[in-house]
Amino acid sequence: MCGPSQAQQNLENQEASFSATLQQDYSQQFAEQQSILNNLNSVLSPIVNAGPNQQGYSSQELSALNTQAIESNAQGVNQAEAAAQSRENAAGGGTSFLPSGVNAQINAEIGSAAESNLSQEQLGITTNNYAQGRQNWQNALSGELNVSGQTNPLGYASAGSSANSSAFNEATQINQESNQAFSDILGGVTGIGTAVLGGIGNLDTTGGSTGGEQAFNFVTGL
Amino acid sequence: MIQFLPTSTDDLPQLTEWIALDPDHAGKMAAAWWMQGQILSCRVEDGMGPVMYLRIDREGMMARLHIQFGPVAKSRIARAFIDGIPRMKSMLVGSHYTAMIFESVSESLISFMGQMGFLCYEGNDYVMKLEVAV
Repeated sequence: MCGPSQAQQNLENQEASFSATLQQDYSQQFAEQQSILNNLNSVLSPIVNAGPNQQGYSSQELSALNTQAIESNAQGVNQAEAAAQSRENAAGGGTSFLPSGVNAQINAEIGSAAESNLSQEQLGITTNNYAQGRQNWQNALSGELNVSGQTNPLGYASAGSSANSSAFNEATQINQESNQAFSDILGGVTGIGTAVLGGIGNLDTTGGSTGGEQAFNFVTGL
Repeated sequence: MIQFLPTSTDDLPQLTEWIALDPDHAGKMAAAWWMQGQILSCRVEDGMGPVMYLRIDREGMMARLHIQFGPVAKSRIARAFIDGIPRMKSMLVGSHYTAMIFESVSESLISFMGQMGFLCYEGNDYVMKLEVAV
C-alpha cells in the first residue's frame, strides 16, 4: 500500500495552515486593494483611448502659442499703422493731407488684415495641435504594432521564485501519492487528472467548511 | 480600455495554466503567489478578457512589478501596457512611491518598456522614476 509518509502529511498540514494564513491576510488587504483598483480604473488612458481626434499640445503650450500669435500680430498692426502714418506725413510735407475719414479707413483695413492674419495663425495652431494629437496617437499604436510584431507574450518578466514554490511541488507530489492510494482502493476511479486540474474542484461549495478546511481542501487538490 | 480587477480563488486555475505555459515561470511559483502582492494583486482585462496578472510589491520607496502574461495576442498585451502603465504611474505617485521597477531578460520587453520610460537600473532591473506629487 503506498501513500504519503507521515512527514509529508505533516508538511501538507503546515502548508494548509500557511495557506489559511495567506487567505486571511489577503482578506485583510482586500479593502485596501479594492480602493487602489478603483483608483486605477478611474484613470483614463491619456493617448490610446483618446483616439485620433485628440489635442497634442498641453494647455500651457497652446496658451503660449496663442499669446505669441496675438502679440506678434498686435506688433504687426502697430508697425503697419505707423508706416501708413509715416507715408501719409511724408506725402503731406509733415502734415497729414488726407481727410480724417480716409485715415480711419486705412487703419481699419490694417486692422481687418491683421484680424484675418491672426485668425489664420490661430487656425494653424489648432490644426497643428490636432495633428500633433494624431501623431501621438499613431506613435502609441505604432509602439503597439512594433511590439506585437516581434515579442513573445510569454516570458516577458522574470519574477523571483516564490517562497512556497517548493512546498507547492511537494504538495503536488503528496497529492499524487494520495491519489495513487485512493486509486488502489477505488480501482482507478480517481486519477492524476484531478490533481493536475488544481484544487478548485476540491473546494466545498456547500458552505459547510471553515476557511481552514477549505484551504486544506484546496491544497490537497493541487 | 483595460480594467484592473481583484483576484480571487477563481483565478487560480487560470494562473496555474498560464504559469505552466510560461517557460520563465513554470515550476518556480505557485498560482497563489500571484495573489499575495504587498501593494496590489490584480487581474488585467481588456474587452476580450484576461490579459495578464500583476503582483506589485514594496521595495523601499519603489514599487516592484511582477507580471504573469497570458497566452493572448501580443497586440493586446502591448495595448494593456500603453493603457495601464500611465494609470499605474498615477496611482503610485499618489501613494508617494518614487519609482516603478521590474526585472526582465526579454530584449523586446525591455525595448518596449524603454519607450514607456523605463531605464536600465542595475542587473536585469529596469526602473521608471516617478514625479512625486507636491
